[in-house]
Formats: sequence, C-alpha cells, structure tokens
Amino acid sequence: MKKIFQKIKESFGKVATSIRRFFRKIYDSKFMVKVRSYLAIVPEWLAARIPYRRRKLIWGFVFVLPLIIGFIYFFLIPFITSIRYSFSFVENVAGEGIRATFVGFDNYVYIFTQASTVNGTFAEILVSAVIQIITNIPIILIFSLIVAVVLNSKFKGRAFVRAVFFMPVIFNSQAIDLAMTSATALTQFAESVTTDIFSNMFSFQDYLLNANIPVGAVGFLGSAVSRIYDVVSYSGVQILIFLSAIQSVPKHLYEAAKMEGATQYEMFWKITFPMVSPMMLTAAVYTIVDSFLTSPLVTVINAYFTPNKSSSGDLGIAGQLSNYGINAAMSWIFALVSVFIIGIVLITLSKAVFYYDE
Amino acid sequence: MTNKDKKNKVPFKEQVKTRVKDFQMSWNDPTNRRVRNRRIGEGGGKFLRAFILIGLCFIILLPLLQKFSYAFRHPNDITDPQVVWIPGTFSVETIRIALGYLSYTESLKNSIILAAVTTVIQVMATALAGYSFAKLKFPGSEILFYIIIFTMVVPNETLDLSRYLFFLNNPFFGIELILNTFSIYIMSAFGMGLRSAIFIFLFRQFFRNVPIELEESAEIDGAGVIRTFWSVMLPNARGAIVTVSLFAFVWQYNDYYFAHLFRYERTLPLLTTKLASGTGNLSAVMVTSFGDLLRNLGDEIKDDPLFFGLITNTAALLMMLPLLISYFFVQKMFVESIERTGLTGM
Repeated sequence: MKKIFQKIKESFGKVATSIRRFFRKIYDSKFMVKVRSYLAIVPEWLAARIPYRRRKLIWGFVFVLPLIIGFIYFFLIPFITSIRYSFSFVENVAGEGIRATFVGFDNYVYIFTQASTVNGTFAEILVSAVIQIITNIPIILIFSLIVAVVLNSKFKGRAFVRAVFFMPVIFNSQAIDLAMTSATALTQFAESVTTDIFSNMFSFQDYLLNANIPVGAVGFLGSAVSRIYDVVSYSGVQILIFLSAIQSVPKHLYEAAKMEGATQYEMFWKITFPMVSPMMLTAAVYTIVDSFLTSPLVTVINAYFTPNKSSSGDLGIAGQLSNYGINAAMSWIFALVSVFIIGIVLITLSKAVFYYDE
Repeated sequence: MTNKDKKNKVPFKEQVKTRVKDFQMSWNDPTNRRVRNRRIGEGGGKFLRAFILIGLCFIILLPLLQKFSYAFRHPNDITDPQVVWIPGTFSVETIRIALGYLSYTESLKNSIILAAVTTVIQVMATALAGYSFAKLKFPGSEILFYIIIFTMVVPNETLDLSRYLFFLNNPFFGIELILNTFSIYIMSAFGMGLRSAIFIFLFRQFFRNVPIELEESAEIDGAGVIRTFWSVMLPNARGAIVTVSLFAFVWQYNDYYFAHLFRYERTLPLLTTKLASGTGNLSAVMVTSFGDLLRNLGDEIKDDPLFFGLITNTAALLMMLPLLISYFFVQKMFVESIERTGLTGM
C-alpha cells in the first residue's frame, strides 16, 4: 500500500514540476517579458506621481471594481426586481411575458393573515425558525471550538477522526436533498427498522425520569441529544475555521506561557481564545446564514413557487407563477429578519473580538 | 540470638504504622501530588476524548454506511424485512442501474472540470476583493463590504425567477448567459459566484490579522501595492487559499442552483443536474428513458417506490464517492498546508 501511495505522490510531483517548468518557460519568454514591461507602465507611472497612501486607495478601488459590476448585474437588479414583484400581482401573459400589477401591501397582509402550511401559519414557522437559529448559534460555536481544540491535540487516529468530522461538509448538496425527497419511502422504511432496535433496547429518557430528574431538564437533554446529528453536520465548516485559526497562532506565545508555568486551561483562555476570536465572527455569520438556508422557512417559501424542474419544454417559466408576488414578499421578510439577527450578533461579538495588530 | 532478634523485631502494629506514615508522606508530598493529579487528569481527559470522538464519528458515519449497504443490495431484496444491514445477495445491479441513470463518466468529467476551473477563478477574484477590504480601504469600502455580506444572507432560491428573467432579457456585456456553459465562470470572475461572499469575508479576516509591520517594511523596500499583495500577502494567506479552494471546489461540485439557473442540464450534463432530474417522478423518467437498464427486473419491482428510493440513494452515493476518495488523499496535504501557514514561526 505504502509503495503505491509513494508512487502516486511521486507521479503527482513530476506532473507538478513539469507544469511549473512549462509556465516558467512561458513567463521567461521574450514575448512575456515585453508584455510585462507594457503592463508595468501604468503602475510605474502611478508610482512616480502619486504617494503610496493615495495609490493604496486607487488600487483598493480597482481590486473591488469587478466585484461592484458583478454585484450590480448579478444581485442588485434581480433583487430590486424581486422587491417590485413583492408589491405586485405577477402573472405570465401569453405572448406578452411577465406582467406585474401593483397591489400595495396585499402580499404582505396575505402572508401574515392567511398563508399557512401543514405545519402552521407563516408567522408561527418564522418565530420557531428564529428561536431555533438563535439557540443554535452558541451551541454550534462552542461545540466546534471544543472539537477544533481536541482535533488540534495529538492522539492516535487523529487523521481519521479529522477526516470523518469534515465529511458532512462534502455531503451537503442541494441536489442530494432534492433527490432524497423521492427516496422518502426508503428512509422511512429504514427508520422504522433501525429506530426499533435502538429505542426499544434502551430508553434514556425513561431512565432519567425514573431517577427523579426534573421533566424540563430531561426534555432539554432529549432535544439536545436528538439534535446532535444536525449540530455535528452543520459545524464542519466552523470546525475548519477554528482549526486553521488555532494553527496560525504564533507558537512563541505558548512557549512563553509554558516557561511561566501556565496550565493548559489557562493557555486556552489567555492565548487560544483571544487569538481565535476574530474567526469567531466569521463562524457566527456562517452559522446564521447556513441555518437560515437550511431552515424550514425555505421550504415554505419554495412551496409558493415551484419552478419548472423538467429539462424538456421551452425556456419559458411554467410552474405556479400566480403566487410569485407572495414568494417574493416572503423572501424579503426572510432577508430582513436574517440581517437583523446578524447585525445583533455582529455587534455583541465584535466587542469581544481581539485583533493582534491593533 | 533469638532474644536479640526479639528485641530488635519491631511489633507488627508499629511496622504498619510506619508503612502508613511513609505512604502518607509520599501521598501528601507536593511533587508527587502534582504528578499524580496530572496523570489522573490526562488519563481522564484521554478517556473522555476517546468516548466523545468515537460517539460522534459513529453518528456521522452511520448514514454513509447505510448508503453503502443499500448500494450492494439487490432490488429483489428491497421489501425483505430481514435484510437490514448486510445484503441478502451481494449484487452490483443497483449500482449498474444508477451508473446508467447518471451517465456517470461523462457527467463526472464535466462536473470536475467545471468545479476545478471555477475554484481557480473564485480564489483569484475573492482574494483580491478580500485584500482590498482588509488593507486598502477607500472611502465607502466598509459600506460596500457590508453590502456584500448582505448578499449571502439573501437565499439564492428566492431570487430564482427575477434573476432568470433578467438574464434572459439583458445579456451581460453582450454575452448571453442562459444556455451558456461559461456563465458560472463569468459569475465567479465578477465575485458573485457560489457563496463568494463567504470567501471574501474569510480572506478579509485573514488579511486583517497580518501585522501591519509586514506591509510597512515592504513599502520601505520599495514594493508597490501589487508587489506587496503578490509577494508578501498571498504567501502568508496560503492557509486561507487552501481552505477557500477546497470549499469552492466542493460547493461547486455539489451545486445545483446555479447549474439549473443557467440551464446547464441542456448544454452540459453534470452529476447534480442528472441526479435532480428525476425528482418527484423518477419512476416515469426511468421507465421512459432507461427502459433497457431495467430489463432484468420484474414488473412488481418497477412500480415499487422503495426501488426508486434505492436507486436515488445509490446515485447520491456515486456522486459523493469521487469527493470522498479524493478527500482522503487531500486531507493530509490540507492539514499540513494549514499547519505550515499563517504567521507561525515569525
């Protein structure tokens, strides 16, 4: 086995070096030298005339310029269109295309008074989704930080455990989710077989209740345990973020702390935690966004507009277009709520964040 | 002799007492105590760690194992309640049908090429933007950054129709986006690819943590902005680059939304679009287009929803498998590259 790995590695290395050599050749060719000298004219001209601080501003803007164009074309205009749609009745008129008639706040009123699904009204689902997200943030952040610290320490089989923990990141695919909706029969069948084995063998909740532990505590534990798969599968990215942050902490800090006789516990709170805290922000924002995108709200919103998934037929938009105004209004409410939560979390967390260079 | 012996012999009680005293001394000795406490702590910590890690690994691996078990199950066994984990008869029948259904080799090749090229473009576009937001602040850059963050909060699905209609009627600088196999590349190049906002955020956080002294010394040595970015900042952000490219690849490989938005299913068969194409009416799709794949099976199986569940399951496994295998190769490289980066050792 090892020999095979070695050979694969060697061949990869050979390919990489040959590719590198190829590009090096191109890079050093006379033509490229000329091109580079022409390309350098503008920066050199700028450098001769404009002080460094000003140049930084200009280049900052230049670097962002494609992003601005892309943002306007790919996001802003469709987004504004969807705002317009949220205030209108949208229909697909044959021969004319999409027609939107302004109806004021009718769509919003409809959402909060009449829109409902099997699981309750839209407002109820919204509130429960928000509560779930808010409780998820600390659980996922703490869990992923602990796991990152554990995975950073040395033990047998670390590579395997690391590999396993990031696996859910690979599996998160909308296509798989979509496909699995048609496999519900199978999963239900499988659950009816497997849960029987586990639940009948040992009922943890009954055991706790018999031990005179309060019902509320048992319920909380039960829900936390039953959510553990979700927590584990949603925290892959956060673990990675923390892990890379921990590994970029300067080693001399730990060495100095060790010389002073600090314990592991103290080192975690005094060094690891503050140095990792900027990444806490990233992880928190990611957690919120991810949990919004996977919350039951999205299915409710999509229930009001089912785009034509079939690959045949014309390029037009079949599906239940008459409800698109409501769909747009729902997504607007959704976006506003998530921005609100992210704002609150950013403000509260940014006070605890420590930047090394400030 | 015996008398002397008796005199010298310490009574049993005394012996025990001294033994106990010795033991107490060594037990209460501060050095010994510290050593002991550390050992207990380490052992307990190790045990707890092993316990938790094994449990969590089991939770993660269970669905995967189930998928593998389904993949090798013969369609005839699907309604047999006795078959839970180990297939009654080992067969690759299900895998064969799923391979045909995905037209595997072609769509796999397309998916990998699409994801790889997009990854390179994404890294370049988002690293530039992230660096600009972190270190090259111009008036309004802060506001722009928060606006970009806002884009990742709005679920892509909700902009589906307005995006589609807009792209259909307004080509991007004369380039028709719908039914164009380069659309995802264009989108990524302009910083609006799949979850680009997260990557920009990640790069910004990374570049912000680079000490300002580095930049200043580069400036004093006569480096311009681009040279500083290319020779000083990018090598330091190697960890961020690896992370971003890994995620960009995986997410693009798994992406269904953009592929469907630009109608890739008509121009370029991808694994995701193939997998999702049968959603809701897999039995109809299978019977009409893949009848020859099912010829070995009885009629009562062809109508069974469990059978189509089996096929989707296996198809999903086949879609994940290349990522899974390459992941086990990349994993080590990936961790090592993180460990070598950052500002460690500076």
